[in-house]
Amino acid sequence: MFFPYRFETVTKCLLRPLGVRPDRDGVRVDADRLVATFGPLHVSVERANITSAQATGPYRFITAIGPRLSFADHGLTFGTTTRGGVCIVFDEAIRRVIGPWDHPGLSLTVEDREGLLDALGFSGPDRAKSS
Amino acid sequence: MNAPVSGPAGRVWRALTLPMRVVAPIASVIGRGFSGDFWVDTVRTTTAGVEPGPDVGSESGVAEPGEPGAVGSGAVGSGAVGSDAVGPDAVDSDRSASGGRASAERASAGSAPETHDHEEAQPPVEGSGPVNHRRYRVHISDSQVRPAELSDLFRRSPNRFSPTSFATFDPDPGPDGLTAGDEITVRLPGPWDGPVVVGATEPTGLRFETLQGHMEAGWIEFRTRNEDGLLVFEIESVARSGDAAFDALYHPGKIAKLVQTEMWVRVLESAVDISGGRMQGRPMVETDIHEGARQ
Repeated sequence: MFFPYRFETVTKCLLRPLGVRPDRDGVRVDADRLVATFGPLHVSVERANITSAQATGPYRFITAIGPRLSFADHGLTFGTTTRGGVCIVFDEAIRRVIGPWDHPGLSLTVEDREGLLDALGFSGPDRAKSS
Repeated sequence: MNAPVSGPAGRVWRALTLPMRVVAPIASVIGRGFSGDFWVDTVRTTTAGVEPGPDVGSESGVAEPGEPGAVGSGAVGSGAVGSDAVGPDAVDSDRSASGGRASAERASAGSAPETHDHEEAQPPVEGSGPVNHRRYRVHISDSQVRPAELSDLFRRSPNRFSPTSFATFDPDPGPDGLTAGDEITVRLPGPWDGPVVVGATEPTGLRFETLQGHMEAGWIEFRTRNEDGLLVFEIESVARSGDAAFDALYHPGKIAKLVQTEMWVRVLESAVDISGGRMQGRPMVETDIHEGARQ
């Protein structure tokens, strides 16, 4: 299943020079892997490495738009809107995409947040997988 | 205008356009930086000779454009499809976890399934360096053709799919298209050409096996299928470099891998155009490098 990002007019214009394309970028979930693309950046992770996912937001513009690295928890964000997204937490941090640290989490501002949560198996009230 | 492909006219054309054909793949890769048409390449390297470990892997990175490789399935069209990644060159250490463990074993062992009985065949065991198992895949929505129709178009006219600015299938197939046993050469602007024999054809697939003189030793398959209402065009290959010089360009140098990826991604993009549909997401490339198979 493929989940495109949610864009706003201003973010579409801001992110286009970075190579981010509304008609190309998004999140693909298949039986065992999640692949998120964001222009020239991407994350590919096995679903078995995902321990929880939940809807988050809304966000502040300054902290949400673009490829972002949290200095607090080293989480990665592929942000296209301030309205909200899905925050995914990994069992084992994924190899760094930007910045000097590996990423223990990933936030994705997809259009269909509930659909992505469903696809990942975290749509119920308890959104953490017990392993 | 279609450039001449076969015979003396094709040779003259290739000689005259050699400088442009040498530059074309790199120019095409650079152009992706401006257009944003990146691909996703997830690269996993295993040191084991036989079986990649089951560890949880994650790959991520910055797209850089490119590389190729491959592993496969048994009969054409039956391949286990794996996962993927984007952009070019996300290199990581790692193991294959998803699809095609049996394929990975074959790849590591340097053997191809159902090798066509051809005296000039150049299977992986005759190659140099690690075995590269690569899968290139594109998802197409709103396609105007069915999987078998798209495969048939490729079988009848591979040059419609190929980036003929730097790679052509010589000769153009006859009216019946490519059939098992046909020999064809992929002409590239370098010291190596790519002679192959058609190993097998099926309604939704086609396999080429490399012949002596090819820059790689192995095989490559082209497949189409329906998946969740989408048309999927996939290329899968299992190969070693044909000799140490090409391996040096492929692994440490990476230029051969980049050109290879550019070529097959262009084939995927052409498949989207020819299908009349739209690409969903980015072209996905998955590369498993089996270092343990190095000779």
